[in-house]
Amino acid sequence: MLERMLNSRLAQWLDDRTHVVQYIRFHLIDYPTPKNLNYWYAFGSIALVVLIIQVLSGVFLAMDYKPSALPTGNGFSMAFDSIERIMREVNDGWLIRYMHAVGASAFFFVIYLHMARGMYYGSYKKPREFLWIMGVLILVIMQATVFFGYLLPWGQMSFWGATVITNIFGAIPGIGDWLLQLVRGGYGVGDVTLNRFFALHFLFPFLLFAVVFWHVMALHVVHSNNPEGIEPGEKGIIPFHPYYTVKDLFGIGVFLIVYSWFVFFDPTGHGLIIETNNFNPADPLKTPPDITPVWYLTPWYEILRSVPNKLLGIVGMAFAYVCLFLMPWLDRSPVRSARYRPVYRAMLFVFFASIGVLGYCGHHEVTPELLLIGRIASVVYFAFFALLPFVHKFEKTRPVPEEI
Amino acid sequence: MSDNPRRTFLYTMAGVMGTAGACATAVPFIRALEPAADTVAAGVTEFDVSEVEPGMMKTIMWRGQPIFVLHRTEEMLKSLYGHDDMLRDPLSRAIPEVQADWMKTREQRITRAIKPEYLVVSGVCTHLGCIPVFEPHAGGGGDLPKRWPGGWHCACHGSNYDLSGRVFKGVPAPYNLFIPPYRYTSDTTIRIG
Repeated sequence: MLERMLNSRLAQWLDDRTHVVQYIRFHLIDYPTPKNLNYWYAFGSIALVVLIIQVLSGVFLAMDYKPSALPTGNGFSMAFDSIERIMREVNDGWLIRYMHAVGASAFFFVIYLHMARGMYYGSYKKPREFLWIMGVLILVIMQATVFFGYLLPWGQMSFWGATVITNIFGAIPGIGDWLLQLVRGGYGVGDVTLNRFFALHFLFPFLLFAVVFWHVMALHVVHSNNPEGIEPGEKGIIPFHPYYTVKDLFGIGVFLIVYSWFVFFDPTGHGLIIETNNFNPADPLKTPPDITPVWYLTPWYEILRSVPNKLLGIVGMAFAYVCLFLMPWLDRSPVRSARYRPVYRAMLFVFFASIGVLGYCGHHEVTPELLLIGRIASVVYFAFFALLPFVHKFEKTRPVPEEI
Repeated sequence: MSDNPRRTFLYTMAGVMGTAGACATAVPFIRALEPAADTVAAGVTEFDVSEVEPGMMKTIMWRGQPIFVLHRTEEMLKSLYGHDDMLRDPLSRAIPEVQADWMKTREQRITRAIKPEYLVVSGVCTHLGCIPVFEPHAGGGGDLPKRWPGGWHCACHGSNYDLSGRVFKGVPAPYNLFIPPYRYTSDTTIRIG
């Protein structure tokens, strides 16, 4: 049936004028893929689905949301009230908002697994360095987008989270104060900040789409890595359709079941997806006792918090991203997949654990014990990257197979 | 590939289920575009018609749109008779929106008001939604027809209505001005919506 559609006169007419059928064949049907990709490779397609969910639900929310901190008669703000209106008055507005809020968490969950897979099978190594860099850039743009978005409900956590994070810019020597006011558009986070964050929250997904497009274009030049981490021979290659269209669709189906469960049964994720304190309207005169970012930002926030110096904390957090960008050049082992790299494999699990610990610490109130644990986890995070250039010198890799 | 009937069946079923799922997902999004519950609930306006002096008209807001309340004098009520030949729908029978439950007699179909002296009609031209201008004085000239009994003239596309909001022939507007749902809650108070 697909063949009949692609050979139809209409498709041929379009193809003569836009090459659309050739693109579909090249990128979605005949596109060569290794035959041994497992379900870890479905997260790329799933992430694309989540991006579409976010854009769709976001546009519909923007139709009823009002980016204004001006006070209203009931003592709240126009922004806070408009969110409550979406929840209570707009038909199915609650559903669309929860799709968007759960979608944000789902996006990071999927992307973190997607990155972990890339690290495990060595997908960042030559010739896929640029593919990896585009991926890390996608993560950075996502984190900026979600940061802008979290201010919009104008709740307590929105306000104080934005206050704390924008203060980071103020710590930069020389231009800090100027930069801080540039970001906020005033002396503190206020109505102007909210308005421009809304504009930026709308803009950044366009950047995201552009970089995602570049990421996929790069992938389709260098092609997928695979769990064995070797270049497949002719016998190891199968066409994308039907093998991975069907496999990815199945993965997307499983994802949507889990996603829908959260949307319908636990949309706030017990305070993880929408923090409990954000149901209180923003009060510039009262800081909540415990300001924590949402779970997907906490590992980086904890690195910032672990350093007992304002500027160095920010440098540390920035350096955590720099390490990710440099990963293709830090790792010098000729073997890609962790399946054949026992030392790297062990290091990787410790590294993943350190991110988990950082995330846990960053989501809880600071105690002396948690501070110490957070600092140890920060050291482990950077130790992973510091060791990476030397691992190949002593690691005894297992023999890689000839063919996948 | 498609010569395998089992595979064709599975593809077809998956396609059908996927399409059904996509359609179901579209439902809440389309519903979200429809008027929200508070918008629908805000559709009630109360007004004291005794505020309007005889011969005067007042425009009030109902659901964000203008409602004309006209206090008609004896003379104005008399002006409603004698130009039926110029009207498209003199007895307001064309569509439900130009009628009301209480329009039982021929008299009421001409005066188009619960209390004849107070006309309450939608101030939206039935052509393309402009607000017609009040031209109460008889005698034409300018943009108005020669035999002008008094009424409303829509400057956008030249539609004319008499002092009961009944549309003239030969103008773009198809219907009389609509009658909003209203009732008297006291002697002089009306409740629209």
